[in-house]
Amino acid sequence: MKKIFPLVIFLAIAVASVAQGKFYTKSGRISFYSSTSMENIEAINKSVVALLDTKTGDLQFAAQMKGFEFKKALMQEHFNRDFAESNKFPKAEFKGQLSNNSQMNYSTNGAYAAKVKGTLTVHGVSKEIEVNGTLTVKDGKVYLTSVFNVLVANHNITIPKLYRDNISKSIEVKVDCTLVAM
Amino acid sequence: MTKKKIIVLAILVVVAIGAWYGYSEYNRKNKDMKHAKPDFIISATDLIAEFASNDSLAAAKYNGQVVEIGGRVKAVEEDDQGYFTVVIGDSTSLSSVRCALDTIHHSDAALLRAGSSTTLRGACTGFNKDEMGLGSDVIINRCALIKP
Repeated sequence: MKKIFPLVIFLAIAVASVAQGKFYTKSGRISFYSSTSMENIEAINKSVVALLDTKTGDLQFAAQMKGFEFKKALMQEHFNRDFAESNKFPKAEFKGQLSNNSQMNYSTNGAYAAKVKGTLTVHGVSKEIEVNGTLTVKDGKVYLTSVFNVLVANHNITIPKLYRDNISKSIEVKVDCTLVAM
Repeated sequence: MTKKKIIVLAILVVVAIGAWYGYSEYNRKNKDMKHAKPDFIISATDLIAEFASNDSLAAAKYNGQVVEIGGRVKAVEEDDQGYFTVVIGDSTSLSSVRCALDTIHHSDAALLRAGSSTTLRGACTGFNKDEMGLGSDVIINRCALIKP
């Protein structure tokens, strides 16, 4: 029994340190919506890579622009060719931090308001952003969700006159990622 | 029929065809990959190697094209909303070809088992270079199973 006790402590520490490691996904979802009186446009990317370091609160996202799927093929082609210029700028990226990482408890189930600050790079233009979201710890997984708006002008994306009534100047971005321990 | 009538009729036909073309183009859906003609037929390991050696050259060649990928299934992943991703490649390597199944072909996932060889067809979407220590992946979207 005396020998088992230190072993139990050792195991408990080992489990706790796993719970304080890195979490990731390669199939995160990011979607965006543009709504105007003329039409609603919606696209979803289901192959988003995300990495969260629970020790430091470092948070990264990467999404292929061509990975955004639209219901209409023509919209997808216009998006890649005329707006996102996906051949020139294939990737969208976010690098930042959970500014209130110390308030998270990754070892027990619970939901927390998350504040995220960092650099969003879209269309080759980097912009500092600060967004609010929810971080949920459930059965060893970390769920990250957030809804925020991005102004297309902030990323040097110009909308041709012809589409000006069809595409919103402010795009709603929705993040929905389930991260598992590395 | 007078000449005038014929001209009016011809204009109407042209306008109707134009309207029909515009309407169907506006509502055009993405191609079903099950019946799309592949631009490239390549093994998963060769595709990964090509992207790894020069990703901008490979991106110019493959991105947006219909590719047919052959290889060994490493895993079939289902996310919490029921979207499937088939991971293909060398099981000893962190890098893979990640094929997201088209929602209309979700039933294909049941036919796949880890360790078996398979062929899938989809739209090449891009390459996630390993910048986070998670391995590099080629992303293929809207995939359909060609050979289980």
